[in-house]
Formats: sequence, structure tokens, C-alpha cells
Amino acid sequence: MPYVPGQEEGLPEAARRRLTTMRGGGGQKPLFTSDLSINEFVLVREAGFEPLGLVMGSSIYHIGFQWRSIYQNQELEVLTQAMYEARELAMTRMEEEADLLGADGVVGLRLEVTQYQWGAAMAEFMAIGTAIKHRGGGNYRTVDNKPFTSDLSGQDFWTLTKAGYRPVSLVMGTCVYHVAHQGLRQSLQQVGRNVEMANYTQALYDARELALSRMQAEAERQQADGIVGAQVKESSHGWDSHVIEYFAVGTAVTAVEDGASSITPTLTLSLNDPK
Amino acid sequence: MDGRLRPPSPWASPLDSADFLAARSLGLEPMDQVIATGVYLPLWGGPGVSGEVQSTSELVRLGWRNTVERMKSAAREKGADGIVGVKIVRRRLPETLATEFFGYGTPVRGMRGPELWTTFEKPSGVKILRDHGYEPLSVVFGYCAWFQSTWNFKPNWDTGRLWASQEIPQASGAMRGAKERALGAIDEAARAAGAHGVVGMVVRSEFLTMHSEEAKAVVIGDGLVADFEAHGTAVRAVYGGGEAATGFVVPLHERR
Repeated sequence: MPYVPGQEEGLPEAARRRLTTMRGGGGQKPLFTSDLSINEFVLVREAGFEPLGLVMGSSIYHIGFQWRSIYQNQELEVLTQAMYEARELAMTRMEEEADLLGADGVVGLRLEVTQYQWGAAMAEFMAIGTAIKHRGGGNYRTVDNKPFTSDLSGQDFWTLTKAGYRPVSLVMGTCVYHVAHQGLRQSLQQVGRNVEMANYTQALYDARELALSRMQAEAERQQADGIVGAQVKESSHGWDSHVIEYFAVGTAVTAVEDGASSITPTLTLSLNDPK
Repeated sequence: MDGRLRPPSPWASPLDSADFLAARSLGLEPMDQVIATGVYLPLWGGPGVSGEVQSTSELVRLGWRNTVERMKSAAREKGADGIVGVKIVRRRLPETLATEFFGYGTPVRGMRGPELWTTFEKPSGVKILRDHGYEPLSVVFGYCAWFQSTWNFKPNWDTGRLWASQEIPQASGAMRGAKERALGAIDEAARAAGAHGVVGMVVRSEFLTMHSEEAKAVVIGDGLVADFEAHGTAVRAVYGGGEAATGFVVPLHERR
């Protein structure tokens, strides 16, 4: 479901009422909620933003099936599409909530996928973060007029803004890939030898590349200068052992004109040992 | 139930050195620990009508409320003004359908408010809040169990559901229903406490199906239960705030 700014179609009536009240509608005082830790809360405020509310979107999705040849490396487009669309649905619903709160963006965004034993082909996709708004106004929305989204923590968000950058959008790319099984002849040739598993190497390389290139393409569409905090997560989500998802995710950022400032780190010795 | 059987001194606190230092710099004096517990048995299997399962939701809210009140009552007896580092655990007792609530925290004297205040934050968190013009008021909680009787996840050869990727709208709707009730309850509790906001919220959600004993205890019928829980600390803005202590460092490492 593509996101349309100002769209509230996916929002249940109760959510619309709750979010309107949180903004101070219905004669109520404004009230913010947030999953930011105290340090994050303080640093987001130090960066000039006010938290508006915890925003969430979810989708329970049935992931389809795709035939594959067991001796062939191939992307499973049906599964790739499902994993992307379900996350996008959850994100869209979260963005709708942020829009209704009048937010400039969402920070501390987490994308979670949960699978249940009772529904092997189903998964729950959830997007959750804290909607924020700049105290001084200004346009922080994306080129599509959406609130910006970022999986950066409050600490990283503060550091990024102090370094003269701002987040543009959470960008992601996914690829579900089937790694070919080895034939009997090939397996026999490898018995007792140290050899590279060339088809595995190629498959994993291709799958990572596809996920990363899709993430980068999203960042280009958002006219970003770069992506920070990029990571590639690997999961098989309970599929068979030769099917694997590579999920690339990060925050696309852009430099702010005249926004660069110098951060002078000070070395401190903590009283606590890291645990 | 609330730890009153233990001798009154010397006090013990789970605060580490940094938190103890933060507490002292706020003028807070730790006073031992308070512990509260309660075991609750839900009504066995109500009618399977789609919507909030009132009896289960109310039972969980009651367990939570009683646990907090017992901790507060024990803290008052010790002469405390607030409780820091509150932790509340809800768990199903093995081999039974009973649910146990177990809560503990460190009562502190100092920072007197109109009422005894509570927070999930440790003293270092309270210190940072105070330094930036906020003070904790109370822990707030929201919960909802939402039953969805009809939903379609089973293979349907006619519609090709087995092959096609698509959303299961009934299941998504159930979780959204549960989420709204739980978050609505948090808003309500925070407003009742006179808060300006809620920080440090933790959200937990899961689906239970009728194959599980937990779900059978909630409703009778075919379907699933969306279980949604959230909690956080309600805070109030204090005019002006305090002064940041010299050398107090906000770490730039990972979020919790």
C-alpha cells in the first residue's frame, strides 16, 4: 500500500481519537508518550525536537509460496515481495499515526518480525518509534512530503544533527534467496578436501548485493547524501535451510546547509565496568 | 506479600555505584527494597465473541494495580517519598493457569511530592530528568486481550491463499484493537496523574491461539487472542528545571 501524505485510511477510529486527544484536541491538555530512554529523551530535546507520541503500525501477513529448482541459485521474488510489502504496510500505518500527530519525523524506529508456531507461513510485522517535531518549525519532511523516519537512537540522532546532517528516511532493501543444493557428483568431488563452496559463495554474495542495492536505490529516490548505521540482517524465518533473507536497513541522511558544527569529544572514565 | 517480615536494617539496595551517587546528589536516601507479589486465577473460558476480553483485561490490570499499591504502601511505612527502579514481572505459573505479578523497587526519601512517586528509572535517569526540568510522577500501565473469532490463515484452495502473499486483515485488526485499548489506558492514567508525558515506554505484544492453554483460559471458541501490554513512567515538567551537575555525562552509547 503506497503511502499518501495525510492519508488516515489504515487508522482505526479509536486511534484517530487517541492521537487527536494527544495533540490537545477535545479540550484536553497535550500529552506525549515515548519509548525513548531518559538519555534519548533529553538528547532529542537538546537537538531542538519535542517528542509527540509513540507511534506504531503492524500487519499480520500470509507469506506465499514459490516453486524453486533445488539445483538452482535464484531469488524467490514472491517471498521478497511479501517481506518488503508487509514491512511497508506496517511503516505506512506508523507514518499515518505520525502525520496525525503533526510530526516532522519518527526516531528510534524498530522493525520487528515475529513468527508463530501456529502459522508457519504467517508473520507479524511491526514498526514502532517515537514521533517528534522541531520546536522552531521548518521543513523536515521527505521529498514525498512524508514525516522523516530513522532507526537512529536518540543519542545518534543528536550526534548526527550536531555534525550538520539530518535524517531523511529509513531505507531498506530485501532479498529472499534460494541457495542451490549440491549435486551428488559435486559432493563426492569434495570429500576429504578443503574447497570453496562456489555456489554458496555466489548465492550469498548475490543476495547481499541485491538487498544492499535496493536499499541504496531507495536512498537515491529520497535524494539523500548517504546512509548511516547501515546493516545487513540475515534470517531464514523458519523456511527451509537453503532459503535465506538478507534485509539491508539504514538511515538515509542529507547535509544541512550551514548546519555543520564541531563536536569536541571529551574522554571520560566511567565508574562502571561494561557488563 | 510486601517484605514486612524482614528485619528493618541494615538496608540493601540493588543500585550500583553510579546510581547511588546520582541518588545522593539529588538528596535521595535509599531505604532498603520493597517487594510485592500477588497470584491471580482468570475466569475459565468466557464466550468467544470478537472484541476485548474484559475479564482477562481487568484481571491483568487488577494484578498490576495491586502490585504497585502494595509496593507504595510498604514504601510509605518506611517513610519514603518515592520508589525508583521499579520492576514488575508478569508470568504464568508453570502447570497452572494462574498468573503471578512480582514487583520490586528501591524506596527513597527526599524529593517530596504531593503523593508518593514511582518510576521505572534508576536514580541516574531521575537525575537527568530533574536536570532538564522534568520529574517522575508514577508508573503507568496499559493492557488489553483482544479475541478474534473468525480469521483466515488456513490454506484455502479456492482463493489460492496457500500460494498468494497477502495481509490477514482480521488478525491485523485484532492487534490494532488491543494496541489502542492499551495505549488509551496509558494516556488516561498519565492524565489522571497530572503528567505532561510518558517516557521510557516498553511495549510487548503477542498472539495466542486456541491450541495454547493460556488462550483456552481466556475464551472458548476457535480464533486467536491478541495480547498487548505497555508501560512507562509518567513525567511532569517542572518550571525552570534544575542545574546540571558538573561532570555529569550523558553517554552516547546504545539505547536500552
